Amino acid sequence: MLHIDTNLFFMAAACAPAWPALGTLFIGILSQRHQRAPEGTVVAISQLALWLSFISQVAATIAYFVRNAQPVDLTLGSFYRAGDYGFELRFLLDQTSLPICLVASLLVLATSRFSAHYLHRERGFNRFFALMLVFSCGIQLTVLAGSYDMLFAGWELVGLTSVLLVGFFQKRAGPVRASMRVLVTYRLCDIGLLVAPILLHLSIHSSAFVDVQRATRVASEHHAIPATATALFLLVAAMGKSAQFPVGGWLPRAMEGPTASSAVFYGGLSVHAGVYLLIRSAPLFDQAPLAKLLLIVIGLLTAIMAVLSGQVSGDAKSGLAYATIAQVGLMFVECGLGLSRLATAHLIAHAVLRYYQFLRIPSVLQDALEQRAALGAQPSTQPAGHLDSLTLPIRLLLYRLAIERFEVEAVLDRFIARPVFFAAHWLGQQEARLAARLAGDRSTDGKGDA
Amino acid sequence: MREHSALFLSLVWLLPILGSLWLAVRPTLPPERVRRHALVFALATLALTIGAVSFLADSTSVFLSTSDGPGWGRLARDYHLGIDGLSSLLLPVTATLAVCVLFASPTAFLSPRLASRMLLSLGAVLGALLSLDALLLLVFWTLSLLPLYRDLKQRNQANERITRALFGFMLLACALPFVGFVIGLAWPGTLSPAALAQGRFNLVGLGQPGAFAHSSVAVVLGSLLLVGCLVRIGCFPFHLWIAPLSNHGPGPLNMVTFSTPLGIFVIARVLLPVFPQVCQLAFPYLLSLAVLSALYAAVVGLGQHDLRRALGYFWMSQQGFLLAGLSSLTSEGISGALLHAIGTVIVRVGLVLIALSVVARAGTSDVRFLGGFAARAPLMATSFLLLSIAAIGLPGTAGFVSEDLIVQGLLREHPLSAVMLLITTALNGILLFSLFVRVFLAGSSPLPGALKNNEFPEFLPRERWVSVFLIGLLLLGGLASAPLLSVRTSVIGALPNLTGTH
Repeated sequence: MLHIDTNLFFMAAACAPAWPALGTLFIGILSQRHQRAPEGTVVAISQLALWLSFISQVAATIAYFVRNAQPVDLTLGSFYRAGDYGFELRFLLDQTSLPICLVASLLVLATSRFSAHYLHRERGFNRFFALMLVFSCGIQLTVLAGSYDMLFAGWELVGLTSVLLVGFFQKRAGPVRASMRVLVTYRLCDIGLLVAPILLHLSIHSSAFVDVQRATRVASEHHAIPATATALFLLVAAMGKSAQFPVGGWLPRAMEGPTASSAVFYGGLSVHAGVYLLIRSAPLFDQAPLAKLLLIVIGLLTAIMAVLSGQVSGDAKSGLAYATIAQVGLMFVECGLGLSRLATAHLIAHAVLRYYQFLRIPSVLQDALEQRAALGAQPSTQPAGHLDSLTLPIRLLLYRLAIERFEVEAVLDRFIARPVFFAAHWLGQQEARLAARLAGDRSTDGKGDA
Repeated sequence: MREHSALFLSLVWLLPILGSLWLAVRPTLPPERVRRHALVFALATLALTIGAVSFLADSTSVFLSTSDGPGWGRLARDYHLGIDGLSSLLLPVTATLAVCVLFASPTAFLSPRLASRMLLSLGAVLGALLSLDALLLLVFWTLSLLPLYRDLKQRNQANERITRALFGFMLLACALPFVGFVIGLAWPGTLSPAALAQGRFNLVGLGQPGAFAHSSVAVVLGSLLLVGCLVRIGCFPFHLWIAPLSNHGPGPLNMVTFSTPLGIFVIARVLLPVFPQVCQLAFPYLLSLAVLSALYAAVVGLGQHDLRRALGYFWMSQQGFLLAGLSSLTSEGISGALLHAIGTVIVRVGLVLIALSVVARAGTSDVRFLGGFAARAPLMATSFLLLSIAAIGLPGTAGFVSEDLIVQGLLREHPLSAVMLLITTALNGILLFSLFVRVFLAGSSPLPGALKNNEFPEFLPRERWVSVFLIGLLLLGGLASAPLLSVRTSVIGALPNLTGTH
């Protein structure tokens, strides 16, 4: 009788993110040695890394079911240690992480295949594949993470690649500005994901999901975790990554990137990372009714605003982006209602569907013509949404708000971004003047530096 | 080897100073030969530091290899050199960075005089890292800043005059308290007979309990030392010299002079073990000051238009991080700060070298006139991006480990400070990425006058290799951080005990 240690398969799954990381390293070395590394070699390296990663996860999923679908909390050891603190390489393989990770690997694998032709001879071909592999590593780490610390590591990699791929066409000002906006949103919202584990470490000396779940079971008696505060910080992080109100303005602009990356990031995976964080944090949110209420309100508001903005969107890709935001808003509502399983199913189904739709976007006119020819029908002149029951002034108001994206970004710019930059300029000027005066120089008064 | 440790350790700081003299008497050497000559001395110094660390250092005790000058009479009492867990990594890192700066600095910036001053500064910094005597430390501490001041004295444009004046204030403000500290040690009745028996300025002896005759005197002397260190670190409000120096100072010399955060090092080497009562008294306030300094620099940096000046504010912000880690007085925080001290100087050297390359090609570092260079110099752009990523602590780099440890060290006693530092990290990330975007992306450069024939050459091979090497070091520090941390475990474990807080 052959006995196979299923732990080996789980170890393989935990090591799965390492394959794309290695692939990135090889592409980096190749690009250093050759100004234009051969596309075929780059694609081969990417495919090999992604297949190895995918196979590892398939094996782990099979092993998971062989073990009667019991969650596996796997610790590979400490990455580093100082004093009482150690950063543990901890993974949680369960019915939430394994299916999502499988879907993620599959979508990235398909993207790599698609992009080999789609980006053929495109400037930045190697850069795209290197970034896609980093993304693959990041999203797998995010999904398989067994603690918020580990999740943050993957989360950051996903954010970085997202920013760099939005600015992929670096000669145009639009993509570059869009990438800057994505970065600012991510960096500021990610503070939530940094602070939440701090609160957990303070209260239960761990940020592992298993420990958090255990602690929340007794929280009703001891109130060990400041659940509301922690949940609110996690919510901020999730809002940024999943483009929810009021920080969702970056997603339609992120469509400036290549179609393949838009599909895998904003149709498929990255935009759902926030929802995944909420699903993982469900035990915490269960202890924080206020946070759950806020989750529902934000999700609903986002969904309504995105649907209306999508109606007046001028191009198909942006329309699809708004549709994505609306669906993700609904997932927030599901999480707020405590329907984590429904949210998981919604996430997987939506990721696959939207991914496909984004990939088909460049051919959307061709598709429409083919459908029309097949059906023999004329294009409809009716709008997609019907708001006839509303009075004309209200409809006009809604139209204006929708086309201006409800002025959310203008308000954020006016009340947050501009004051910060004004303060930065003002402080810099005052400092330069003070320095000039201290140095006894009246000729420049610091104007050269200010 | 250990019998000759005095000579060996002396050679580590003496060799670059000899190199400095060698170049000083050859003022007409062409730049490429200057580079070669200086590199010979710097590489030999690097080999010596590696040899010293390999043969003399042993990470099991706090002070591992002390050496008394043989037969030098009274002078020998004040000449103690040594390597311990604190300095064993900093020595080769400092020498390596000097080699990198000399190898990759644009030729336009290299002159025999500047290279000579770089080697002099290197020798002084290495001497300060090796010193186990307060008097010796004062000499090297001050000597390390003099070449930079001397260089600034020969510049006469308005902004350079301001820079010189501010740097002169800084030099005085960080040297005079140190002089006061040394005079205080020499004052009769300051030290107990037991401490005197080990040598008046011997830092090992001063670290023993009861070394000072009166605790109030110890508080005064420790405070003087702390002020000197804060000025050298450039902590708010002693920071006014940092940005002008970054903007108008001699870039290569600036990098070598500050290739080790000596202010942080002296706090860890002297203040923590010798003046625990000062640490207990001052560090809670110091932590607030450090966090304020880090946050202030990150905010002001966002409003800058000059690449080098903005990098100066980034440097100031990172110094705030280091100080906050030390002020936490926890093993995690101090480990993180000392690792960050290495990571942050590597990042700084890499970014400033790229900034100098941009200046050499475009004629300016004002980002309003730059942009779109990624298409013409993709390797330079990629290097800047990767160094920026490492600087803000992306997973897989040394910055991630060190920043995580600093925050972990703070979170139990000072969670608000930890949160403020996280906000600072986010702002620093925005600052560095916006610099990347404004210099390397966003359309073509509107600076046709400075960029002749619209040219912006790609990295030279030597620049490319140095960048790859520095990025490799940062990745190595991130992926294999455990051995780096373990080198200092015993030393760091001893420091909080000395402060009496653990």
